[in-house]
Amino acid sequence: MSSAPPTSDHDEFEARLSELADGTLPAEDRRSVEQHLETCASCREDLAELRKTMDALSGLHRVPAPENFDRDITETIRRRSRGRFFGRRTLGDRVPFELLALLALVLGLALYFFLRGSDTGSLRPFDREPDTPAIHEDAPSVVPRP
Amino acid sequence: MSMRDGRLVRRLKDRDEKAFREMVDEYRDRVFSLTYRMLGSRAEAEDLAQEVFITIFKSIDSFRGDSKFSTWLYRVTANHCKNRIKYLARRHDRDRTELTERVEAGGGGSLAVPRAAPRPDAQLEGAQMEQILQQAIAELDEDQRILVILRDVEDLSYEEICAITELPDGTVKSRLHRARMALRKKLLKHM
Repeated sequence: MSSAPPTSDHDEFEARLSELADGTLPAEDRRSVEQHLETCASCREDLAELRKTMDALSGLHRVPAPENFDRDITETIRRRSRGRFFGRRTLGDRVPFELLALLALVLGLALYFFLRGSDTGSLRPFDREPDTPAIHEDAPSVVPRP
Repeated sequence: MSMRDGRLVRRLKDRDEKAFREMVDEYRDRVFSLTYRMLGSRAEAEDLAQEVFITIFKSIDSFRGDSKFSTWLYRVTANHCKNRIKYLARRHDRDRTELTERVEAGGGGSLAVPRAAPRPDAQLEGAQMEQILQQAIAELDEDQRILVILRDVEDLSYEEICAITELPDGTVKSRLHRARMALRKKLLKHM
């Protein structure tokens, strides 16, 4: 580019040229680019080339999906999932695995510390009644009679 | 995100089959067109477009609604396209290597890579031009290709393109400019 913008701004200037070509450049920027174009034949040529390319591209339209697209996707889903694709998901599907794993870890640790602090070493509460054996009248005495 | 898209997303999150069909009906042309322009093959494009919709439905819970639903859909499509292009390039390289090895081993086969058969209506100027453009786009690298398609074919705003590609505004604009200039050179070569 003759009398081109400073090299460091070159990318930015190129971008502006593209914006000018597609009509999205703000008015104040447009004026400065147009001023430069008045003195720079190379940039004018670039702009003309750019416009030709964009004219050609404007002939490309959105390509519609094939007629049978809906049917094909339904068949693909049926083949792969055997009817489970749209089914309501279980808790495991809805809640991330990491969260479930963390919850299990916390519960496991809570259980561990509870058992460690438990008097009985189990979930059963400690029975504080005196553990003297019941004496029945008709039970044979283990103490020899005098 | 519009209220209509919000309702659609909620129903998709509820695994509503009818909502899935509505989504496909609404967006199928946009998704297919992008996959077709990116890949240049109708069969590959249809297969990939199906994958996109299945992915969207499966991962709908990860859509937080920070952007428009269509932006997210385009982003998923663009990522799928890039992955498929890499996969096809690897497969093409592998096939060529295998073919070369077979020929070198005297196993027969032709080294001529079959070119796509010309379309029956290729005599028509418009169709010819489209073919030339499609081929020129296919020769761009994938990062340039996506920008040209989103801006010049799909007619999306720069803001949407930045959201889809997750690139800064300046990068999108300068890269798009280079893509257009590269395309111009390729078109001159083909015409």
